[in-house]
Amino acid sequence: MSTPLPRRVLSPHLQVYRLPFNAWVSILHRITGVLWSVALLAATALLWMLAGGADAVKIVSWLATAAGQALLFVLVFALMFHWAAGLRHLLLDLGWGFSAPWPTRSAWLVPVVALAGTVLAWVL
Amino acid sequence: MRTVRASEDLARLAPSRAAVGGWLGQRLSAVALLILVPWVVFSLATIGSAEPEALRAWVAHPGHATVLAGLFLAAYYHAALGLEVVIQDYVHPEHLVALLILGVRLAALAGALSAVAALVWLVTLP
Repeated sequence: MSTPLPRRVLSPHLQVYRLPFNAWVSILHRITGVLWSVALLAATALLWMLAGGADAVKIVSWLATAAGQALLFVLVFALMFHWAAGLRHLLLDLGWGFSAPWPTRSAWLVPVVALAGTVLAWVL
Repeated sequence: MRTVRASEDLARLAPSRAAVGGWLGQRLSAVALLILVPWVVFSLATIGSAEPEALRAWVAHPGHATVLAGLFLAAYYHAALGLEVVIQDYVHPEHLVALLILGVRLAALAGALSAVAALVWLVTLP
């Protein structure tokens, strides 16, 4: 017990708050956006490999394995999440969905739509 | 309820036109990607990932390659603008912010040009 607490009211740190679901969707929108900025470079590299030949066969057949499919699933889910959260933000920018139950409801719709879209991509 | 016209409000409030341009560009590219991203995901899903040759043939189709070029350009532009906001929000030393944003812009430009070049290469490949 080295430093005594100051004798005044402290404002709690961010981790103390229970974040509303909207906040989690907002943070995940950013994280999935950054993730796909990197994935975009990988997609560009894949284009060059397709043009090149041999490497593309290795990569594309690795994507068909269990590990490849797992990575692909995470990436596609992240993309769909960013897509759905982005659509929500565009609608909010237009002034839609601001009144009482809708901001929370639409935030919950984001992972639902993202999962539905990802599963659909696997079913097709 | 009054419709919030954020772009107009921003135009009046923002310190520079460049800031509004970025805000608007982010949303315009988002609208394009709203259509292009599901198109590419579900198209690739129907091809099946086990066939590299089928994938190459699909990408090399001139119509697909043209739309893909648009997709990559919009995506790199969208990514650069998004990363810029993230850097401004979480990086603090002012000079580091400027340096990182410059790096992001150069990388995005290189990525976009490289993607388009690869697509041209794929289409013209025998």
